[in-house]
Amino acid sequence: MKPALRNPWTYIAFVVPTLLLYSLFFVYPVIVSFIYGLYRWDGVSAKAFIGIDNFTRLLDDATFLKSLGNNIYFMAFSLIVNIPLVFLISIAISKVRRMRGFYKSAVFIPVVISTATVAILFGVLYDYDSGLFNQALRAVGGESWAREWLSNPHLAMLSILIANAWQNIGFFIVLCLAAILNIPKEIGEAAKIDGVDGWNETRFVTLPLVRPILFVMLLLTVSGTLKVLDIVQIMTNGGPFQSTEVMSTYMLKVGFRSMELGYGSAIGVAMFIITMAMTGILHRISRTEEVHF
Amino acid sequence: MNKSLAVAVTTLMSASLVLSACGSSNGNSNNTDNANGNASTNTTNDTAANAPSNTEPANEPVAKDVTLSLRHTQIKETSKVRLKILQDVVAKTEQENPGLKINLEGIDEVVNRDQKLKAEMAAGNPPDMFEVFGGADLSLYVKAGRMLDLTPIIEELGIQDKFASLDEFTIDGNVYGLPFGGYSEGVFYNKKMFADMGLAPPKTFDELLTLADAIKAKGKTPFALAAKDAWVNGMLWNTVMERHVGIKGFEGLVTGETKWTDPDFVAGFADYAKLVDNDYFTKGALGLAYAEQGAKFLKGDAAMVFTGTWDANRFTGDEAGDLRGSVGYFSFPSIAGGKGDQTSINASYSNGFGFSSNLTDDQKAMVKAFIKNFFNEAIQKRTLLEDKVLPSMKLSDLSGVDPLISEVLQVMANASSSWKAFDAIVQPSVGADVGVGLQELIGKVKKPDAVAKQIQASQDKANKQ
Repeated sequence: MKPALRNPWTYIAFVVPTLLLYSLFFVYPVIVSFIYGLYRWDGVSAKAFIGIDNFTRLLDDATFLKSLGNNIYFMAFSLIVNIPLVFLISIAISKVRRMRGFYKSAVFIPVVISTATVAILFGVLYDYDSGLFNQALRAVGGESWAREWLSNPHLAMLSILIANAWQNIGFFIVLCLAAILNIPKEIGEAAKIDGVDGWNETRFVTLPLVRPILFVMLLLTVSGTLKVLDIVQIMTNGGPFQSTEVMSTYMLKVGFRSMELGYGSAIGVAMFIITMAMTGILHRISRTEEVHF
Repeated sequence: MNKSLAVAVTTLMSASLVLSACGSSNGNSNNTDNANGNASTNTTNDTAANAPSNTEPANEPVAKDVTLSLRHTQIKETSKVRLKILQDVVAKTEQENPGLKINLEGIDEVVNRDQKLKAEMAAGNPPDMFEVFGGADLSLYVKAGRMLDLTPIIEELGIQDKFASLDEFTIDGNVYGLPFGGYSEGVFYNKKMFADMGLAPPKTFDELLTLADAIKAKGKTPFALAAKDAWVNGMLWNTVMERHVGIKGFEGLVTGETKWTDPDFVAGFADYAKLVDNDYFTKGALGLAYAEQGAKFLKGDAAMVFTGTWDANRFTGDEAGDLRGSVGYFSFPSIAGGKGDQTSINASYSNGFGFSSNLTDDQKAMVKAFIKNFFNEAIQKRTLLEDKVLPSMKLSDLSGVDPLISEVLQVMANASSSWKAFDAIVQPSVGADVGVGLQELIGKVKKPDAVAKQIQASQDKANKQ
């Protein structure tokens, strides 16, 4: 080992800048938000200290609970629909021999488009009069099949979730596919010699071996869906009548539209705690189920 | 490699990384002219602006270097004209005052209003000149001592009586901002369609209902509406409500004298709900963004649209196509039995320029020069002609004005009184809940009295704070 690498100062010199930036842009804002959360403050005039009132208010704020519910709906949909879909498509792509590269890039394209663009695009597709979805439905079943996708409170959230799924699964598919293709060929061949068919190979060989990647996807999904903002903000802005409000859009509204920066900060802190708790629990689970080959 | 040398090199590299990160944030707050690139003049500019002192070289006594930053929000395609006028005024002011440099910075309107300007105001480093809204925003900033008192400047220029209204920028008798234009809200209608169907602008609410039914029977939408953003729904509703309760009724909400659950308020919600339940609005409105309602109107899908006169520019522009020249404007009809002023109109002069209170004397002198060049009859006339924005100053000469605009001015002149929007009266949190309530009415998920009750609960909470 070179003498420079044995000097602890070398390591400190490399770590300090990152730590500085990390504290400046992450640790400091979190602490400051927590402090702001203890005040009633409009953002400009003097702050009034009100203790934990903002946090207790969260517990019986129907809109906040509704938006938390929507975040959980978002998460549940992504876990129950998106991830199995990702796994299925990955298996399918891994089985094809020709043009695998084409399929790989095709599913990845939506990931490259910015979320704002996707949101606007889907807004056009969902349009009541001229949108593609309604035109297709009208062609099949007539006028009564047309739906108010983004303005019906029962459909709006689902509409967002579909757009979100379209954009996000590509990234996960690429992750999952890499894991599947990384499984040593010998394992598959050994299974074949033992007379295992396609379904059982997927169930008992592939699935257990890509489990670490599945957990990564789980973690990314949970943290991603709890902090989701852009696609909701652009597609519905939390509407109609707050039926698609998620925590982050509500935080933005309270903090900057209603000028209650103190309460807005409290919502931010709550989001932080909820996300941390959820990912913490998942981390625990994943550590107990390590797989080796 | 030498041990200490390696350490030194890495430290240096990491330090430069940190410093470069800090550097950009410095640049944002103080000297925005870094981007211009002509370094030599800039450095003199900066020192002169930040510390106007006698350290200046003695061989240049005439031109005093002054830098001012100007934040505007005219960055969209639709506000090209307005930006050009602003740029011309800035160029003229710079030409007349050698050594003056005004740096324009354009950002998105909502970002400026809700985030950037607010954050800068909290930190105490707003731009030198900026677009600001009168009313609640301004009073917040004045309370914090961030706004320059313009009273002496406009008195000196003799323009204090030339404005249509400075109400929204006046606090305790002092003027803290100057509106560059105004608006009123009413019904734009498709004259061609009205003529084809043999209809005339209604005078009463009942006439409006009959008219709307007739339009619907012909297979057209009576009112174009895009209800995704709450403020859009607030406009028509606000006028219906004013007809019922009067502007005094709105003002009483904050003091507790009146309640959203009072019979006349509920009647206002009920009349608005009537328009919804009769399906007078665009279908799927709750999913549409604001620009869509104008588009539906111009496409000929809808006969009318209730909005502000800021859309007049669009309705007389290229997008209007065949409709160009056949769009009319009328004030919302009266409602029998209502307590409000039945021929009044929602009009306001709240969009304007404000100036930072931390300007130096030299900068203040230049602000005065800018105000003199921007707030005069010539520029106001030009704004009216090119941008179709209602002038904030009284004009003596109205020749050459677009027919729709003169109709708008006519309607405003005929109005018995004018009042400001409800969200400039009630607390912001209540305004937000009104937005939710109206969407619930539009979505037909709640009854008018339930909506009223819910908004009153929010009002009670806001009044207590």
